[in-house]
Amino acid sequence: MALSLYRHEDTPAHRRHPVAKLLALTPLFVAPLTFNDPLWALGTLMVSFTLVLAAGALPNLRRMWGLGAILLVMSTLLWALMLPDREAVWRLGPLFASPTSVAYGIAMGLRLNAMLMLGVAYVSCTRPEEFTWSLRRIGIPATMTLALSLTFRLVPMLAGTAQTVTQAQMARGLDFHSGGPLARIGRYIPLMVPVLAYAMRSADDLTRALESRRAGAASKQRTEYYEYAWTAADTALLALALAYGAAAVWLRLSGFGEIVGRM
Amino acid sequence: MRDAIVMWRYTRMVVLVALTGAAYVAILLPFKIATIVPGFTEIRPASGIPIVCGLLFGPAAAWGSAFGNLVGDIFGGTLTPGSIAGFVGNFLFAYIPYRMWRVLRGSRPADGSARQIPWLVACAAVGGVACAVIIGFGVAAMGLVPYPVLTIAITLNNAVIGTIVAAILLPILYPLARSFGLLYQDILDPGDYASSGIGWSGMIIAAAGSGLGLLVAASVSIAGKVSGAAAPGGLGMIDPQVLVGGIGVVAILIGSVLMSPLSTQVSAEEIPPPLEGEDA
Repeated sequence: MALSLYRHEDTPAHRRHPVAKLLALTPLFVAPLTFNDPLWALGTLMVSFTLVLAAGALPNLRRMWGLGAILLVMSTLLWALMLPDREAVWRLGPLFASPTSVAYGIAMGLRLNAMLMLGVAYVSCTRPEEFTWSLRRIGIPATMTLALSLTFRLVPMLAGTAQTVTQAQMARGLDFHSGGPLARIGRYIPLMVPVLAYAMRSADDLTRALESRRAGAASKQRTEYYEYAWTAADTALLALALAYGAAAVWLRLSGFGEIVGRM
Repeated sequence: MRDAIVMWRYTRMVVLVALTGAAYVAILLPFKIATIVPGFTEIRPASGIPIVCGLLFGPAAAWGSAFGNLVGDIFGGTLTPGSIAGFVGNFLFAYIPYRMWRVLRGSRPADGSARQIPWLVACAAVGGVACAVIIGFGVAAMGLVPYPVLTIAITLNNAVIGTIVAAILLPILYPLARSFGLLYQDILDPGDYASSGIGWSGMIIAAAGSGLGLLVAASVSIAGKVSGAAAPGGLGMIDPQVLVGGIGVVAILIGSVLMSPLSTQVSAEEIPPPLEGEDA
């Protein structure tokens, strides 16, 4: 069962060093967080979209366009009605909004979408193994990244079990879509118990398998299955990402891209 | 939080981290009951898993819930800075019920029997609200979603739905976990998980922090108007409700640390009773 959004392509983003991609993600996320003017937020969205194209992540983004649209609409609505100190320019009963609060809401929707695109671009060009590998390289203990790798590996197996159990229960007439929330919660229990019981049953085998490979044993010379070479292009990616994030912060501090004095 | 660190020495706990995380994602992604705020949060029965696994597997479930949330974000394509708040919130969603149970009930096992329900509700509710306050604060501090919206929505999912699911699941899963020898008491040394002498203070501080965070969110929602200081060049954290939510977060974090084992000393009541058939 395939759950990962990773796309097997040979784009420049796929060829970058996993640590470079992980470290670049932080300054790339800073830029969308900086501006609350919709026009400037749209600018950061365009940069994120360019990165989606560079990572060959457009098919994944197409799968998520519905979520992006909902986020934009909901964000506009929520902030339009909840922005602190908004003026009551438009009023409907107890609800009120102003052009500024609506513009801020649109900017926040664009911000969310810009960050969503960065996340999609990253997971489309980075395998889960590369993600845990890069975490190990930046100092996260090997045992923790091993557990994270195992989690990635076990999800498809347990999701498959959940799917099998669901189909078996539906074949017996279990209906998940009728009744109130409490009744529906009750119907999900016969699906959750077998998945959790299966997980518990496999704990012993997994423990033995790990111990037989000396998992967790102190070793100064840990070897990796994958090795990646750092190139000048990785340095350039990191430098560009840092410059982009720093420029965004500098512009905001200089008064650009701001319609309300808040983040 | 000594227990959350020393548990990495035990291979079986490492496996439980992965299994809890994977089971959380496997059940979280496909099973959805209803949408609370479209695009932001839904009612999902998987919210009972961190509570149940926390009471059974202790600190392994805390890491497992945090990893599960992160992996869910990566598989779901929703990896954003909000995932950091989700990581911390989900860690405490399992960790607080486990630590609160130790403070309130000592070495008595959480077997999910009917007379344990009030204790279970108390532990699960504080854990659920703490998670909601932390995620609500983290996301609001970045200016992504208004603080009350996410805090109340996640509280509804975690503390209400999570508690109901946990109350049903625990009596079914406890005998299984015990028979497989997977309870944290079966794996860890008692010195690794024994409560500190100030566990009660920690529990009260964590509960107060959670309550404060939720109260602010609820009062803002009921009043229907948010009043905040929108100083030029300021941050979203200037909003009074986000600031008070931040105070709640600090209290939750301090309370969680105080509830956790701070030394290796074990009091007599912390030593678990022998299993049936074992020599005393």
